[in-house]
Amino acid sequence: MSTARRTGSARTTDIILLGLTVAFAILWMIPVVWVVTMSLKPNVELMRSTAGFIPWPFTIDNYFNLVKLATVPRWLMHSFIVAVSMTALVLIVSSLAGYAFARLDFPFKRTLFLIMIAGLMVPEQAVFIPLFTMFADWGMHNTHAALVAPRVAVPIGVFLMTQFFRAVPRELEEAAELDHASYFTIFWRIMLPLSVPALTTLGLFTFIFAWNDFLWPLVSATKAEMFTVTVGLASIQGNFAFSEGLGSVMASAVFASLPIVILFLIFQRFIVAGVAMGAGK
Amino acid sequence: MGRVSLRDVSKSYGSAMVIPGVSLEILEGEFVVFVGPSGCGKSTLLRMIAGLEDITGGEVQIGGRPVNDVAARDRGVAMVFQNYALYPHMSVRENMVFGLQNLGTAKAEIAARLDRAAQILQLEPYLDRKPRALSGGQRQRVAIGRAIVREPQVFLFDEPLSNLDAALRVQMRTEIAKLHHRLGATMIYVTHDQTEAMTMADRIVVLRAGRIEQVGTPIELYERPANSFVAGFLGAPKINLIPGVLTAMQSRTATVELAGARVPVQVIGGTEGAAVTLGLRPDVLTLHPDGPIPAIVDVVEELGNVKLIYATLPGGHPVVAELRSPQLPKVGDTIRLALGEGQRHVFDADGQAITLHDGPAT
Amino acid sequence: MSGGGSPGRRAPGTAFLFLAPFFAIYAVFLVYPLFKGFWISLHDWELAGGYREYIGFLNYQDLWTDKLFWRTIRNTLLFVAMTVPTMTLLALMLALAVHGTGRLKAILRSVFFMSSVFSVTVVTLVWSMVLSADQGLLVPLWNALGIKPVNFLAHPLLAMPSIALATLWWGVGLPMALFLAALGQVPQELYEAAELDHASRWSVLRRITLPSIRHTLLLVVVLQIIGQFQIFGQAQLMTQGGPANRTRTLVQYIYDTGFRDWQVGYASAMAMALFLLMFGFSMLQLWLGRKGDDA
Ligand SMILES: Nc1ncnc2c1ncn2[C@@H]1O[C@H](COP(=O)(O)OP(=O)(O)OP(=O)(O)O)[C@@H](O)[C@H]1O
Ligand SMILES: [Mg+2]
Repeated sequence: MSTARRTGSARTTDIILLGLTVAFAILWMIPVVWVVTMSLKPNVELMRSTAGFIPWPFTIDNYFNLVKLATVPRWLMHSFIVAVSMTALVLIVSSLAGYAFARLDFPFKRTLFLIMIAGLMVPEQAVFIPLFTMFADWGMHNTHAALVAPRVAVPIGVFLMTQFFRAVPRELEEAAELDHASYFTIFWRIMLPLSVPALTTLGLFTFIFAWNDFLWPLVSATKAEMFTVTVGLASIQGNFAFSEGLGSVMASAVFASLPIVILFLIFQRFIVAGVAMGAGK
Repeated sequence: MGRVSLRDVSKSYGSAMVIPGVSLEILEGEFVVFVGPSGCGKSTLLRMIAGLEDITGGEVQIGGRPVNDVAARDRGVAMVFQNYALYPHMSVRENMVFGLQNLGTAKAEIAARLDRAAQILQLEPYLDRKPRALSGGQRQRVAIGRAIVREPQVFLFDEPLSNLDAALRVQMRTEIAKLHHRLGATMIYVTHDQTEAMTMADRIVVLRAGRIEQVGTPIELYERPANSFVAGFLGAPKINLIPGVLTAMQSRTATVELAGARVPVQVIGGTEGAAVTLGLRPDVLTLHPDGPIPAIVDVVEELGNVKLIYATLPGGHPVVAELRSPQLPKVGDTIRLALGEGQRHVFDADGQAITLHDGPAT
Repeated sequence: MSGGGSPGRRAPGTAFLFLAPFFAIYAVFLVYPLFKGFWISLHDWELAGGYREYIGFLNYQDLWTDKLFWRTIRNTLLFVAMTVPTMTLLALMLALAVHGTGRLKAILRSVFFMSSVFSVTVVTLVWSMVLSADQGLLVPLWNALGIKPVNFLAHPLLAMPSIALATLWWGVGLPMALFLAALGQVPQELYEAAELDHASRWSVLRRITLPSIRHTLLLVVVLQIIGQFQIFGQAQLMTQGGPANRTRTLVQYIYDTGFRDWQVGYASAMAMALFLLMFGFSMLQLWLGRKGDDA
């Protein structure tokens, strides 16, 4: 906690606490390690026993079967399309609105801001039924657009971008204004490049949210070939285990999580930094 | 082209009146410095000229054109900010050409102007660096470079040197002065620092609480301050302002009675027996065994060629004398101060100067 | 949360252009559906076949006497009561433990956050397996102890805590990150001053750390309440609401009513009830927080 010199007993306490935390972290990861282990064992072996954390006897057949089946890769593709387009749209829409709230002056600004923030209070369950009927009327279920469109106007995204843009020194913008930049140029050439960290954080959270979105895709994507990987996995959890074996189910879970875990490992440092930005006073 | 006229310009934030009304004509090619204490409205005035701040009342003209309703980007002015306001994600080169790109200037022209500006400011080695890889002085030069590539009619500077150390400040001061000669553009420069004002300005505008106290050349303001505020603001060490009473009024001469001393002065106006303030620059005071003003020495500062004596008058009023004599009093000594060459300023009870100056006012 | 804030350049035309995409989508996919949801709730409205009849507040009257509805509300509140305090406490403890510099701490932060990136499907799969009575992770342990393996997810009393456990594991990342962010903003001088005052570890935590992050504490609690009220996937996938409806949550009931029984009118009435419940709770929280602030 502190960088200052500590007495000997305090340092001992530090080390003990750290040791406990490490132990807890190992415990925390055990389920994941176990699942990965199972995904690398033959199904026959798993019928006998699921115990142990060493993938022996070892096999990668479970993963081969998965790719051969082609449904899981197709679900992955849908998830990618949905997550990438949702992320892009959220970033565009949030940063545009955030800039206006942070830096421009216009009538009803406060009111509009409050209306926007009030959206935080509306749970998706309050609107998913009417949304379902709307998309049904338009004949748009089982499309990527249906999975993305209702998720683009995210109040928390606008809020985060507003907070971030507010912290950009006003002088930069004034300098740009004297440099003959239009508002759009200021936004595009000054504000956006400066907000890469905020955009990364928001993008990361949006991507994870999109990837893991469950209720709405569950009701909107009703055809198996249009499932996202999250919904698809849910659909096979029960009977797949019987037909294909436990190892295959575990492999499909690992396979579906891999992209998001990799993304997380690459960008993790933006998470706390970004949260700090959004939660800052 | 580069004329700037302020016609009764005022500014208020809500009900708070920050600038009640300022009128000023700035000629083409002039170097005008705004000085005044913190919060007096220097930045606000400058930003109204730039178009960064709405004008509450009055009119601003640039090159004869009223610009109240012209956006900052269309006023043809460039500004150098106190904190430089360089775009952190752009290289020095990109920072400098950003404005020209926005104007749609031809590539060749942009390159030519960039080269010229970089050469003038000796920025060639740094063109591809990001601002964070530059020293304070270099950043300041980039900020100036960004302004000059656009060849504006009017340059605005808001305390551009206040973040630099003393030596660099002196160096940049002369660089800006040179630049002014070279470009011949109108420059309006805001500073706290009276030395900057005295050394750089063609004319100085002294502001207090959003009003102009006096406008004039540095020498005019130094020699003929219109009031005690201006007298106190310019000159270092600060002028001694000593309370006294005006007596022995003749047509042009009179005496100011201080605690335990009488000082003959020349005045116009003023009434017998009125409370006045005597303004004596520290270098007017000398040490003399028969001097009329007794004082007790508090502190002695030796600054090489000159020495500063901080002393207290019998009435308890502090006084500073700037001496060149080799022999020095010691702390606690009682000394006698005499008046040498130099103006004896007299200010009436309202602080307005009633000093009679030799020769015609310039 | 501050409002519009300091005024910027007056440019209404530009501003509205910048705001247009957000508010257009917001209006179509959030505001309109909210009102439409209320409208639907005033009908006997079938999802298929297009049967709909205006019945006023009859759905709401039915809700009042619907035992299962109250059951699901109770279950949901129980779940919220189980998860919100534990999640907040766990997140705070983890944040305190992994806050600081160094590689090891960074790895620990990643570990505890990592479980948040998995989808609900994966999380429930993992925990269903871990808790399974015949293939579970704990089975060897039970065998070694000579106890008959417990079937957690089918146990009337243990099913809900099991779901809560999986939820903790899944969800602690974000609140922990919020706490970490807040801890990072506590001025270091405060700790140094406390150290010079020979403050104990515990009193530093109580007198300096906690007061400094109390806004975040409130934020976390509000976000948790909002989030946990919406529990659906875990219960749906781990227990399907069982055993004997003991883990059936409100959202699950809404989903089943709307998309299994196709009674969207009735389901919408429940959705409105959920909305009001959550709205009320978060308002109450904010109000209590404000009051605490003034005191
Ligand atoms: N947005 C605002 N709302 C209300 N008052 C303001 C605002 N901006 C500035 N002021 C007030 O206007 C006055 C003039 O401010 P200004 O920044 O022009 O002073 P300044 O002379 O540049 O001071 P400094 O030398 O400290 O930079 C100050 O008293 C300040 O408090
Ligand atoms: Mg200023």
